Amino acid sequence: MLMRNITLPTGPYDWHETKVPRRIYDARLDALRAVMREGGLAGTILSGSTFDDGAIAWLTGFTPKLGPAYALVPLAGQPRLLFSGGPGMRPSAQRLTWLEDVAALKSLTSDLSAWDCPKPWGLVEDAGLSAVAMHAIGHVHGGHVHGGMPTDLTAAMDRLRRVPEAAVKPLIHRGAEILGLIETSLIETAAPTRWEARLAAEQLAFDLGAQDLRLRLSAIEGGRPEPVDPDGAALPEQAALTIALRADGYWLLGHGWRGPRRPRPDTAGLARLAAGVAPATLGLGHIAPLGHSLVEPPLDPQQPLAEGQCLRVTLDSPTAPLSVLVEITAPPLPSGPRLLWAAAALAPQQSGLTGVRP
Amino acid sequence: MNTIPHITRTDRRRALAAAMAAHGIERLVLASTGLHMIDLPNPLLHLTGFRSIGPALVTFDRHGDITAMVMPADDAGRAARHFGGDAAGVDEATDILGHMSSAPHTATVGFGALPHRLAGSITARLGEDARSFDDAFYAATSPKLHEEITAASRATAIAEAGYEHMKALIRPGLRECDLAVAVNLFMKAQGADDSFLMLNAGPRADAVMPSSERPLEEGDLILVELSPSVEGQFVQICRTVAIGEPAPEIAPGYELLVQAMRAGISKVKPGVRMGEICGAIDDLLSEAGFAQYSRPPFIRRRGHGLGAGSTHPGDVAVDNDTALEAGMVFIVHPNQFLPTTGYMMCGEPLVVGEAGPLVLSSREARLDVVTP
Repeated sequence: MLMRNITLPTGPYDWHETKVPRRIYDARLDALRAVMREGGLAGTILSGSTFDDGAIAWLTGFTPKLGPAYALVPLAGQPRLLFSGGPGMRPSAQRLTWLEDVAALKSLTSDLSAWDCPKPWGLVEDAGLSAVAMHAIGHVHGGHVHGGMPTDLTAAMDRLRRVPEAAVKPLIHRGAEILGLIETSLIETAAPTRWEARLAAEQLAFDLGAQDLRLRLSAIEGGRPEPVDPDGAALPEQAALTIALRADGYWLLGHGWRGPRRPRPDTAGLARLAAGVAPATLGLGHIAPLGHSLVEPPLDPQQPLAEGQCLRVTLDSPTAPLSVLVEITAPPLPSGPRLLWAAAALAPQQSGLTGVRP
Repeated sequence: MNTIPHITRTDRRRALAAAMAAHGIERLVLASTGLHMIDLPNPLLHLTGFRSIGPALVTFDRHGDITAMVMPADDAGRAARHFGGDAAGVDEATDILGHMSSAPHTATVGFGALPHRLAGSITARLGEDARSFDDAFYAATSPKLHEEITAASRATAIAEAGYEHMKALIRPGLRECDLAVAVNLFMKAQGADDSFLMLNAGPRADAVMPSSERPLEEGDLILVELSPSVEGQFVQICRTVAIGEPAPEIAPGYELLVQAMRAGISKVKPGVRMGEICGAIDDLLSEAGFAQYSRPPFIRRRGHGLGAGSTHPGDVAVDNDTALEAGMVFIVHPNQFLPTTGYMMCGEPLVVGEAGPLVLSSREARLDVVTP
């Protein structure tokens, strides 16, 4: 989901060692190395950027803020984190990752050339990996006997990231709770302008512990929502709300609605969400995993859902989309999947979920 | 009298068309990643004033005709209103290809920053002779528009108000990140549409960096660069604040940095190389005995371009040979680590006038002391 970025998020830490135990990262690193071993790879480059840092944040805890970052992961030995910024900024990066080998990125070409790791390498791309960076990676990797580009491990990494561990579920649940509070504030706001409503929501998000909040307050033009630049105009009586927030490294995104004439999407498939069911059979809209990336790719509609997955289901309607966030259970709870958040405009009986809003 | 040329967007497009003609270019394809960062050039924004939500392209031909392709699809209406015509909207980057065609004498701008698959696909579609026009584009369109300088002036006033607000909030026990959030929101309430704010504190720092959760303490020096934007136009001021009476070596060290900044700013006028401004700062610090701290890893640049899409004329660095032109906007900031004081910051944004610098801030940096 495309949302206008903030040039530099400020706020409390988006990672803390006490919130995600080290054993979680050890297990993630082991899982990546198993993929590397299977592919005969001696090292892997993970790229991350301010556009998309899903993979690098999952593995290292670090979210790039000042520009791209790279994690260099050898099959054995310490991974290295390269961050954008001056060498003097190392403390600000070091405190936001469990990795011990942290250094300022000089240039991708020189840093990769200096990496003491045999080839061939794998590559986990972020969605924003630039043409210039890809050229540098290909140049360094292809300049040796193995030749060519590194093996693309992006899809394999996506599969590894798809089911969050039990230990991090409370972070996702808390993020969903903050999402609900932000949505409520935007529905109930008496702020005279869009801009003031936005600032109040930002203040609330930071007070609740989020580190990034991105909003689209879309007016309804020609029966469909259309983005409106933030300005001094009043918040429309009928507005589609797209809210994306990052809390403890996880992105929570939801589509809500402000106004009395609610969208009425088809929700019949919601109650059937369960492990072992393929999305293609549900008749629902866009289904994407909740994770460290705002631009997580949608699920394969033919691939059955897995127990423990946390998902955003975006329900299409002629007026505006609405979302629910759910955790997949097996077998389904009597009330359907575990509901983490649902757009307030979706009445429980309308959503097909008998549970109430959490 | 020191004046600034009154440049309009039409003037900028004419200048670009002339540069294209000089290089035999008939059509330009300009790209935006959709990211809006203080130091990430955005040629699409620079030429058109349109801030895209996601990746976007515009084509610009020598006659001045513009067509736009934006993501996501539902942003097409806003784009059409901005461009005064049709704009295509797509949800998948690859769908942009359907709107691109090969044409002779086409060049690109900003493709290096695009996601590589998208950049590669479009370049392949444009034809083999499509080449990068980035350097010529920024060189031809470097001076700021009248409306951009007006926005920069307003942004500078907001930065200065944000700084005063920050000083009023400072108290031991307040976390750096909470202070940063409060200052950011204050500046946005004053009219900033975004803000790049780095703020950190400690008894002795090596650099400015993103805020931590560390509580402020008496004896800290707060380093802050306030960089709000108005209509996408970022500016920056750099400041240093002591909480409580600073150590005796701090004030003379800071005064040295202010003198270095004045030396650099005094060099500014059309025709001067950016490197000469950096050289003036380095010379003063070297004469004071700090030559070894005036090069990497202690210092990389003494300022940089500011903008809403173009950061031309680039860094205030000794190896920058860009000649200044009236209407350019950049900041001079000596920001320096001294062995006696640690890192400290001072910096002012300015416009290059016909006869010299026009500093945008109303009050020069000084070492401020907040008594807890």
